[in-house]
Amino acid sequence: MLERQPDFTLVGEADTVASALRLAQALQPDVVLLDLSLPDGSGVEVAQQLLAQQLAHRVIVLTVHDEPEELAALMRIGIHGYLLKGIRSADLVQAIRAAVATGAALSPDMLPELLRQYRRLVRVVEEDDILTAREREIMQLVAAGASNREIARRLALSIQTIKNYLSGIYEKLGVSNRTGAVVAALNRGLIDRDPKDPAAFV
Amino acid sequence: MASIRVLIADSQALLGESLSILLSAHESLTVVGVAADLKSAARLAAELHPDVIVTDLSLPDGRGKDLVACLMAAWPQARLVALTAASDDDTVTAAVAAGVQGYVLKCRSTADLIQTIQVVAAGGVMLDPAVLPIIWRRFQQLIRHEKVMSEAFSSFEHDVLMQLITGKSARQIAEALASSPATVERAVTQICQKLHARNRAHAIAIALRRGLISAR
Repeated sequence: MLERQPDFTLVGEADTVASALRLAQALQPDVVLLDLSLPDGSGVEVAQQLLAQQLAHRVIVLTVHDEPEELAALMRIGIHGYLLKGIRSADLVQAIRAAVATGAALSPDMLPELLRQYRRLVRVVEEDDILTAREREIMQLVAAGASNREIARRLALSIQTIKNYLSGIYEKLGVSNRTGAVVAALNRGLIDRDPKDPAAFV
Repeated sequence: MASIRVLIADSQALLGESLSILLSAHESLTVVGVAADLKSAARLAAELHPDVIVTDLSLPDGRGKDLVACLMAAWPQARLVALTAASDDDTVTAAVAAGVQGYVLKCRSTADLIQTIQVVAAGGVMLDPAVLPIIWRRFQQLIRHEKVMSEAFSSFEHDVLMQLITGKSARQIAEALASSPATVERAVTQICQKLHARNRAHAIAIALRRGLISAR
């Protein structure tokens, strides 16, 4: 079914944890469509390995479960899609394309659960002094090694504006310089760990 | 099936009125009111009891999460669909956190809006395709942050925190934990740093809010 899509190429199929990791290592696929119920171990473990070792650009989980804890565990790992089995094939194709393009694909049935957990997380984690989305965006670029000039160009702002943002960020995080801010932002989970493509700055 | 009663709030009168005509033309929808500011939207919501409120996230007298909270308070049974041109991270994450059940960008078609209204009226949720990735990334940041927070304390620091909440002094805590006041003070400093708290009262407030400790 997937092979019939002109923009898809099926490069390999695995039916165990071991073979999935071996094949991913060998083939470096763009997308791994991962069934969580494998005979020799947990698919969650596979997802973790695939993402930690950067063996695939996108990891999309296919699962029969719709358990809140499983979704939470997989989101923590950083998966790019969570789809329930029984998804119609046309929807699957669309979901894979969405995951490739945006890094997110979700079965509509799971959206209420995602939002329920999201709202709980916001209540628990967000503080009055947390960084704004713009500040996080800037810190994400700083963490990827961008200079103020590059950040300014990327966000279509002046260099002075970026400097102003940065001093506000330092104050909020209780740090005095760029490196301290990156460390603090990473430790507090305010920005993603995997750096964005540096080529995207220019 | 009974018709879905819709209230529209948009600062651009022309858009609100056009939308009213477009939605009313659909057999399953009845537009019960159109408002151009938050104050009248809230008043109409309380008076007319709409099933769904379709609202921009920026009205002349209110915006964002405050706007959402105001409409939800005016008529708590209403379900909210954000209809907005804004798809920046701040607007999206705040509106969804505040409780909108639907999110449609103004660049979409009438059919998309109607579908979202129907899904939301039936008790479901539906987000614009451009909105899901924003919530997804923010979710992942938050859930990692939560993990960091929950792992942050040593068991001694946790014990000290539990004692702090009872209002004991460092000396009393030291006695209770068979430790020295200096060690307790060091732990308190650590706790405040880890929670980014300004003082111990602030630390307790943060710890309670995050569910790291519970007030018994």
